[in-house]
Amino acid sequence: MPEIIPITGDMEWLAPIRAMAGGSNAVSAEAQAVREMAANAVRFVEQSRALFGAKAEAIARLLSLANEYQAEQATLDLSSVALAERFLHALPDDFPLPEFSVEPDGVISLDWIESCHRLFSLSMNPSGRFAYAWLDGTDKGHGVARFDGRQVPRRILEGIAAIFKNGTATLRAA
Amino acid sequence: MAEAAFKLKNPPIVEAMLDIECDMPGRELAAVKLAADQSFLPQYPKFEVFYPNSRILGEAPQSAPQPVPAMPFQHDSPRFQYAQEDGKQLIQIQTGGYSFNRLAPYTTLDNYLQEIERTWKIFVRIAEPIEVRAVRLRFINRIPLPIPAEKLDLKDYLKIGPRLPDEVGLKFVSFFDQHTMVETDTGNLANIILATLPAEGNRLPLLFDIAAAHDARLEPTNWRGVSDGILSLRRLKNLIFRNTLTERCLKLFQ
Amino acid sequence: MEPLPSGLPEIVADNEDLARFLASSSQFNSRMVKPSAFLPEPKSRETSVFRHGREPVDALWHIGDEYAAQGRTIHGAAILTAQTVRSTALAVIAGEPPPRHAAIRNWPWIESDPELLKAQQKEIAIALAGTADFFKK
Repeated sequence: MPEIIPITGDMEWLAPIRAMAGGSNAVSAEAQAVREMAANAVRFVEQSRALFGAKAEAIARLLSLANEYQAEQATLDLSSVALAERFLHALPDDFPLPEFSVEPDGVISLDWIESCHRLFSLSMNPSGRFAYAWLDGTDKGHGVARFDGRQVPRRILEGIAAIFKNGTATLRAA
Repeated sequence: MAEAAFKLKNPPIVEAMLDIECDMPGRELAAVKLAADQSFLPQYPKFEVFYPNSRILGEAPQSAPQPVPAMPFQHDSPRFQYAQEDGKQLIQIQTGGYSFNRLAPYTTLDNYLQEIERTWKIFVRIAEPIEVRAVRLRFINRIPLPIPAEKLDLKDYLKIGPRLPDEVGLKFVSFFDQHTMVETDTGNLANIILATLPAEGNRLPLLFDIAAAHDARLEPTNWRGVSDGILSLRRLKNLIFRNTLTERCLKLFQ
Repeated sequence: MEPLPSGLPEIVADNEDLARFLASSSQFNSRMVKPSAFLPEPKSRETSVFRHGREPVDALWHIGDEYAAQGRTIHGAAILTAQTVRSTALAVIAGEPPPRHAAIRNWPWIESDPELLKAQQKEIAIALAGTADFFKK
């Protein structure tokens, strides 16, 4: 049997299939067929609550929020919603999951809120360059980090982890 | 077989795609549209804003047995797509970088490198990317396997591929087989998909999708570095192609 | 200086309460208002507030339903003082009509880098959210 190089993260083996399912710049009908089959494979795995439960619920909340905004004809950027879903897939599996809100420009905001003095907020800008800001007691700051659709930038993972560092969640950065 | 000698008379490639992923300055894509139109429209006159998951070119083959439900919000950021008049060759630009697509008929990458270089340099000039982060090459092959009267044995055509736990009592209905691998010498990553499509008459179409990626940190003006990455990926792709298909299969393309 | 049509003085005093009405339940949780509730509208570049505190409650919700809702349902209000807003280097300027309306202005604005702009605005919005009191309708 060929050698396998182990990778971190319980669900990271799904990442290449997700990448195929999530879209690429290929335009042929055959590429679309691959995309659909990959999406089916991903969906089949994600039906397992044992493998995917908490994230599935988070995505359901995200889509529910998007539906609410669409029903009220409020400003909502659909690209941002799609990016948020992809970002959730890319989060390490035992990472705290965010809350969602919509910013005035229709962009989805992901917020990790430990308290009113410790929070990390991330905007799902459609460009893939995500704006973020944090408050940690008297420490605060902001920045921009690029999401390639597959892997959450380390500085974002570290920023979120720092908010919960004294909490009870067990964290394992990718 | 030497790289230069590995050429097929009728390659089964239905689409070849080069992605150059870039770190871009914070700017809306619309800001470069005028310059992009002026630069690309003369040779690529068919323009549209393209949402990748919402449209396919040409007739969609029947794929999975179950219909795929419509997924809301399943489209990426928009990209500008410039296509040649016959639709066979495209340049795509987006906030994540540049793509070159060639649909069948496809000859050899060497025949397209000059045009890739020309259009890439245009992209660098008008979009001013800060850094190249990755180069990706993807080839989607469609191999119509002849279905003989008795049975189709995949081993006649595939050196590697899916196997069943009991090859007497169990028979394939379809498969979607995916591997991800790293080339230890170069660090290049590759993803292979082998998947069947529904039979068409006495042929079983097999999709053989090879995607290879080369992480790089390059100045966008360093065409030599970019093209070295492309050629490294092409070498890997050819290795995978030759070592996956049998001689009998390769003869189908001569 | 002439009072405004609402009878309020033109200058918003530091100790005045400002109400930011929330038109979605996603803009708050059990602990606080979320930062996105305070970000400026991209077109006007300002955040709309009303010069009213928690009490009287009926008057507060009347203002929200009548002038802030714009076809949506008001779920609650974040209340903070003008001084709190000004401490983040933003301005609070009265702007009637509608009655009691004011605008939080002077948000950072960088045309050349919209993402960095958003990040800077978010840092300020977090500071506002952290000090606002939330009242559910």
